[in-house]
Amino acid sequence: MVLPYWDVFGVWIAAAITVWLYSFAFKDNVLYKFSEHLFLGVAAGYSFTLGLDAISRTGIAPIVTEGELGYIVPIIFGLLFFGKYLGRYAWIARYGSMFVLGVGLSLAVRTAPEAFILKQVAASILPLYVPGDPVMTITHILMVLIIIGGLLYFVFTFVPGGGERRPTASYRVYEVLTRIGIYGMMVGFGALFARTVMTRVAFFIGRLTFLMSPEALGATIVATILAAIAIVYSYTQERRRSTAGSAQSSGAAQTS
Amino acid sequence: MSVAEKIYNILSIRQLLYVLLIIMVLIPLLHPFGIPISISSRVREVYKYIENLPDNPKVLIEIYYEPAAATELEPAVGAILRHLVAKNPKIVFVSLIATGPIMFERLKSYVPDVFEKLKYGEDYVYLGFLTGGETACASLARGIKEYVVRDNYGRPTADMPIFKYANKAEDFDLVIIASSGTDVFEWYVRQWFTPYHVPLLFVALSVIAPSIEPFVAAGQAIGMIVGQRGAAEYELLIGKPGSALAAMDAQSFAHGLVIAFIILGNVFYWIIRLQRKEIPGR
Repeated sequence: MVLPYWDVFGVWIAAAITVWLYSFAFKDNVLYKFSEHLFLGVAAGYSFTLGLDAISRTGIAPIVTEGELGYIVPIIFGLLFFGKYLGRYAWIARYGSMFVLGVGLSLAVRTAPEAFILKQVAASILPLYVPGDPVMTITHILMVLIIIGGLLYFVFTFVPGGGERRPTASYRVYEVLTRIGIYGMMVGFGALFARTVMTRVAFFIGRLTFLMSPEALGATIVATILAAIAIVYSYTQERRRSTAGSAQSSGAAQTS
Repeated sequence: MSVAEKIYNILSIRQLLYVLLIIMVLIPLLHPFGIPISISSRVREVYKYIENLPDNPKVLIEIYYEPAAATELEPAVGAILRHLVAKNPKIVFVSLIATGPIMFERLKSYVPDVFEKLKYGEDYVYLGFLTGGETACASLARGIKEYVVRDNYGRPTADMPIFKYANKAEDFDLVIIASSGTDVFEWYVRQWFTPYHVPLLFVALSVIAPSIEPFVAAGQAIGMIVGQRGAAEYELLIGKPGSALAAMDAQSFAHGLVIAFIILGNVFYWIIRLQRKEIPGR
């Protein structure tokens, strides 16, 4: 498939920006900085445009086409946010945020207790013996122990055995359970780290596949050479600065 | 400096890890090995659920990710769409994130075979990016065409036949949320599942999976497809290999490298400590 000139140019830019952003892994350099700023600027501009488009389709269009005048009220509340640029009248911005917070909070709170507390608690009440399935039995026992242990670990107000942590039977049970809780959390963090690696590698595979595509390969090679030059230049600049710095400090020592 | 310390110092150079990572990912991409993968029971359950959906299922798909995350999420959404399209679905696409419109256009070019079979306005519609986060999510559940008067391309939604079948939360057979963040899953659990009991399916990044696992375990979602691996398994199930399956060798090689570095780092760390007669834990 032959891409239009404009699309080919876009692919080249994308390839160059990708290489230059990855070049930070080796050394901070001028091309990385350029790409970073370009990305932030484009992202801000894009989000602003799409935000305006969404307001136009869901807020202004109903007023203009359907005559739904009620939509003027939220638009006014939205405009109040700009009040913070009005100096002594900055307080009017609070009415906008008050409205947004109020609506958001009431919507979330309406179902949060059931969705986030009751359902989760119910899901953690598991049968400790599953007939004919030893793996599930062990899994359920471990889950219950880790939940209790994890919760106990974060209870700071009460420790069995008092402040001196006397080696009473209840304290020993508490100690064993919190240890199980800690190990459970460690396993959880380990899984999280492994999954983070998986995601980052997947992102990298995606970018590398793109960089190796026939449309982007030429730009990738040129961008890599430029990035290598920028990294070398960055190293030499750093060395020059550190040499100048040490010469200055030795000069100051001699003077004193 | 002992030999162990020298090796440890060499292993600590992060640039070395990056160069090796590039090599380990490039080799299988240039020369695929086809390492076999197994299909997890979780992905199989999702497949069965979609297989058992009635004909003309009404599905809402939330496209909530950025270009970087497309590598993990797009293959999964593509594979599910390829599976769904055989049932002549009515699909409403929506994005509560600003990058959604770009990602939707990318999705269309990723699975052109799917969109060729669907007629715009009748079988599918894209509402575009909607501001408001959870508030927008709640408004969609109450009535889509009343809330979104014009779609992503500026066409009026009032005349679109698709909304005769798929307008309110109660009309939908399934909501698929493909997201690179955690928030949006919570929004749909709060605004679509809890009040209306609409079945949810999560398509998530690998890193997000532990955060949303409690919703699946509690039955608030019918299941989840996690990352590139989950997508590869789904591609295998539908018998249409795609980009996720092609990336599995590179994933395996890269993970092997990270595991090797973790093992080597720990081995040399302990050797150095023992050489210095530092007894661990004291």
